[in-house]
Amino acid sequence: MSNTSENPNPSSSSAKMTLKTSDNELFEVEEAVAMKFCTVKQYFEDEKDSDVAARGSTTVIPLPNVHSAVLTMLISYGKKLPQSNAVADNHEEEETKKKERKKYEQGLLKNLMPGELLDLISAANYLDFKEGLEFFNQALADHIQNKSVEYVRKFFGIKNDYEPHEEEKYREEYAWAFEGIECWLIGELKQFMAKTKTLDIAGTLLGIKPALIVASFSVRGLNSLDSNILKPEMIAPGENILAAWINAIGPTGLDSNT
Amino acid sequence: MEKNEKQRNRSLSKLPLDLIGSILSRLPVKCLLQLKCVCRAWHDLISNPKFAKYRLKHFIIQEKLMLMEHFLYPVQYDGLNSVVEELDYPVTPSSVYVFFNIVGSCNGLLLINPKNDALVLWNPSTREARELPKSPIEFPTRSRKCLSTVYGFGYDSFADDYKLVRVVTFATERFETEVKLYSLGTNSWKRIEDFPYSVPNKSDGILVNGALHWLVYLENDLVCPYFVSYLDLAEEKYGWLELPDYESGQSFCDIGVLGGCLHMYRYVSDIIFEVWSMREYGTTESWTKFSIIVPHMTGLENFVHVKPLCLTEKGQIILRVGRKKLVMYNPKEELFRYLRSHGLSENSVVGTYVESLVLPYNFDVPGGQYHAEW
Repeated sequence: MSNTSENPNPSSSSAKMTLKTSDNELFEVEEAVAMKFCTVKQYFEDEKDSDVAARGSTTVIPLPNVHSAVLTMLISYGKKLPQSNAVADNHEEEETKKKERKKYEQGLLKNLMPGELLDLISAANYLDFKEGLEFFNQALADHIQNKSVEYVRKFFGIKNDYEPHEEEKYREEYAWAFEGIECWLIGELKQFMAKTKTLDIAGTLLGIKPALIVASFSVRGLNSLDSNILKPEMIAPGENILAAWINAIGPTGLDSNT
Repeated sequence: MEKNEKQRNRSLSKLPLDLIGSILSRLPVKCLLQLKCVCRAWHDLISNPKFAKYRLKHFIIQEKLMLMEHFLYPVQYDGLNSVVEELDYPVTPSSVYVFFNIVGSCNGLLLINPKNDALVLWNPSTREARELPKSPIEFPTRSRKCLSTVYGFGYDSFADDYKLVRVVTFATERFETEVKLYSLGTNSWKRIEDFPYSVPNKSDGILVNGALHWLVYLENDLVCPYFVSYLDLAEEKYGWLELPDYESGQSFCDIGVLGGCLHMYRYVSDIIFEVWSMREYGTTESWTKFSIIVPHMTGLENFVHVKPLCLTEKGQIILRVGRKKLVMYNPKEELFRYLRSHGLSENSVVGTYVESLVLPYNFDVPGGQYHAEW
């Protein structure tokens, strides 16, 4: 898949540069955007010194450490940044552009898988793309802020090299840092803010013995009202579950319920 | 997707420690203390004083209030909401009626004066505290009586050192002084040049631009009796700054710091409180004034004591009004809003600080067991 970047101002003559990714994809990028990647800028300037005749459009700059999927995202982020060669906008235009960029950034982060963030950061670091690095670093920091130590380890692929008793000792000493804090929000409402837990989806587990049995009083078959519904949509283990009910009528409809 | 997985595994192992450092330095202190558990490399990274310094330098950290009385209450205001915790004192007071005071705050370290000559350096974010060594007062031959003792605490960026200053004024004819400087790096006190001006007023030094400032009162000059004296922490030399040319007349002055700039406060009348900001440090012409009209606070008589504390992220000023109330003032709209102030009483001492990982002791003292490189 060869990607040609769109030129938003077809009338202006902007020089283009060709970048080649690790998977041999070629990207034609406007010089203004490509120059934000300082590694590329440096390469280009070195090339310029050595070869007087050649301009960016004929040189192909290799980026062996960057994958095409990652470069696509970095280029589109780079395009949204204020261009250094653009005509200075008046205050209103600047504000509109800023809002657009914020919206774009939010959209970008929503669709991003956390693992992709690491790739983006690694690539932005290699390319020395300062604005991109700043943005993605902040996004990653926001992502891990309320996560547990175990999650962070798994996310970065870090092996815990502490002995269990050492880690235990540290956690005990700094128990207050691991706890939720007691706080007074506006008004005298006292709330305990719980530590955030993350649930990892385990997936389908096979071979569990003994197999779980549906309790005798639970629904398991056709819905009496709509026979198109063949089985319950959700089922969970447990008996004698306490649940809330309104005062008017108890859970079984019997008078003996209190 | 197999290709992407391979790419990802390659990039994961490639994320260098300094890149991880620039990601982690955006996180709050409590989170970082938890993340020390991740592995030894991260523990060493976060514990390194260079990391604490980098974090302070590159990220603007919001100031928090510290309310001090029977307990300590760090308060963070976010708009009108406040998040308050309750902490125990790092040093147990030997007597309930001992006078505690916050005499300095710099880069997340608070200097507390629990008893007459004891001093405790405390980082409320990491909850590490250390009592500083004491230094005897060298009295002059003619007097053994102290008129006043003031302190100042700040950071010397040239020497990368935290310094504490104690100015003792004696009750002699010419108000002789003894000025001693404590350096965290060497963990020792030394005597420096005496305070060259007349008695510094009884508040502790205001830290601006690497120097400690005190308001000095000149009795013989009735037109403009005040000026600002300072002690430069790096050069350990004194200097002075002129105050703005305000209308003379009876007024009570005070100085403070807001948003890193030196400020002067003047009570013009019962309801007008003048705030002057020295926009450009060292330039007398750069003093800019804006006045705050203090609304009539019910339950308070005569003159209201107003003390600006800090600036919020959005440029609003948090003030302490009349000892028991905290107010947020919006200078653009000239609006006042009361803030909920749990834990604030008449006798509370209020200080400001930022969250940081700075250690209240020197990293290289014997007993430090870390050796991180970053």
